[in-house]
Amino acid sequence: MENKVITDVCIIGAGPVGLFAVFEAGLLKMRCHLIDVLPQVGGQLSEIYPQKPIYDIPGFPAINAQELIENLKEQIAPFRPTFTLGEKVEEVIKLETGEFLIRTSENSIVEARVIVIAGGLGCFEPRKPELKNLARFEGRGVNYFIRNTEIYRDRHVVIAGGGDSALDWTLFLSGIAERVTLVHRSDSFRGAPDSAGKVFDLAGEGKIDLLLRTNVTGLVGEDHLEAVRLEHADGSAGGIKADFFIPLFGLTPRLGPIAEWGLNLHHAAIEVNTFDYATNVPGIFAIGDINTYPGKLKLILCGFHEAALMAQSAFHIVYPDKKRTFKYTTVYGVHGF
Amino acid sequence: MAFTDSEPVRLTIKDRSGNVRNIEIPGDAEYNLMEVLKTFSYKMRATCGGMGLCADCHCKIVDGLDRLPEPGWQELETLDVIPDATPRSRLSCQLMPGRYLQGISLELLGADHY
Ligand SMILES: Cc1cc2nc3c(=O)[nH]c(=O)nc-3n(C[C@H](O)[C@H](O)[C@H](O)COP(=O)(O)OP(=O)(O)OC[C@H]3O[C@@H](n4cnc5c(N)ncnc54)[C@H](O)[C@@H]3O)c2cc1C
Ligand code: FES
Repeated sequence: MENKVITDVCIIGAGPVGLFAVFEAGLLKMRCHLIDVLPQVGGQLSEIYPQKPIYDIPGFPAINAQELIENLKEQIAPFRPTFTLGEKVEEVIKLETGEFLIRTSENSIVEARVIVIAGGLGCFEPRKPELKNLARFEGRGVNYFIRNTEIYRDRHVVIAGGGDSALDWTLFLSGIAERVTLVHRSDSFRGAPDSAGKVFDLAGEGKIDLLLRTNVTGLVGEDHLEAVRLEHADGSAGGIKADFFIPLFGLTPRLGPIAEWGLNLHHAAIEVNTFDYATNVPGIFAIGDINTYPGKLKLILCGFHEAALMAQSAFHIVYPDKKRTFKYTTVYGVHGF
Repeated sequence: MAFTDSEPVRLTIKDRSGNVRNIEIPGDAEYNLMEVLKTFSYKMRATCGGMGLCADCHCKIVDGLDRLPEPGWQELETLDVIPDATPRSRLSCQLMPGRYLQGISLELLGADHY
């Protein structure tokens, strides 16, 4: 069934800048819906450096990246933003009414008066191994995300990778799958020592297969994956039965579908003016790391400033007949929905 | 002849399109090799800005690997989780210019779209 949301402002990207845009829009009585391909909000901060301290957020001599995201969530809560997480925005269509229709990879639909692209460096996407037939088997045995764990029940699953998610999913799926094999290029794991210890234990008990100093070099099958080819550090090669191959090599941002929405781009960033961070398409704004203009700095604080100015213009699109005077939060407080 | 750290260090760089060029960098440059390469107009997205987290500066050391200082924990952790790393992989942001780079030959692999 089609999932449809109607809102004033649709924010694409739930990084720090997208989150703060909810606040600035909310002060002007505009409701927001946010979409992000990641299963969690926070963008680069939550995905790449959650535990690193940031030193250039005004008013915070030092703040951990994830803590900043938690604070932003608290700050915007009164404006009751809604979220579609784990879905990529694929398509943006301008309707005859002047509104926008936004469609995601899972066919969720959002209708909005204004679009704010706060897409950072682009969509976080899985890093893919270089294997000849990889694209052919995507969705036919090769999965980069584990959503429905039941499909692995009683099947042969090969996981590749050396990070926390490879370890954690190996442990989890060992209780579901017929056989789990973890293939890792080196002979140690630097992630969570707890999970690594458990994986070594399971392998010692013969409950999983752990292939260290080994690479997956090929995929074999007709309509669906049937086996993977392996190469070991000593030069020997082999193969194992595999109904599923799950490469877990982390995520990296790629511009993705944003490039196809008719926006003026410069080196993988969206060109905007510095009056209100509007793009060349009326009703679409771009703020944060995704935009570019003379003097642009990819800093969180710059994105916050851009969100404030963007909201002033977005207001006139959402409420064309209303007049508005500038108000301090100290004077009027924060009135949520 | 004694080597002083301010003497230029010569490197051979193969970019992502396969073009090979010899460059000379100051031996006492204060920035890491990723930043130095940027000043030679090599494209580096460097999402993490040089913290060894993103692997955009991933390179393959073709020649001279054994002269480099051992990678630190963060570099090893990042190299461990990317799909295309090999025993010749290093993150150029984790290498500070120094005499051990003299004559090194490397190939850029990480993301450049920027
Ligand atoms: C290691 C590191 C250290 C840093 N240190 C600092 C610092 O000290 N100070 C500072 O100011 N900045 C720092 N930065 C930069 C800072 O993280 C960015 O400026 C900030 O994250 C930009 O926020 P954003 O909301 O614009 O984008 P992001 O945080 O990149 O979030 C954008 C989100 O949009 C999503 N997205 C994109 N396209 C789509 C689509 N089509 N569909 C669905 N979702 C989509 C992405 O998945 C992502 O989650 C650092 C960055 C890194 C990586
Ligand atoms: S620049 Fe990110 S790892 Fe080197």
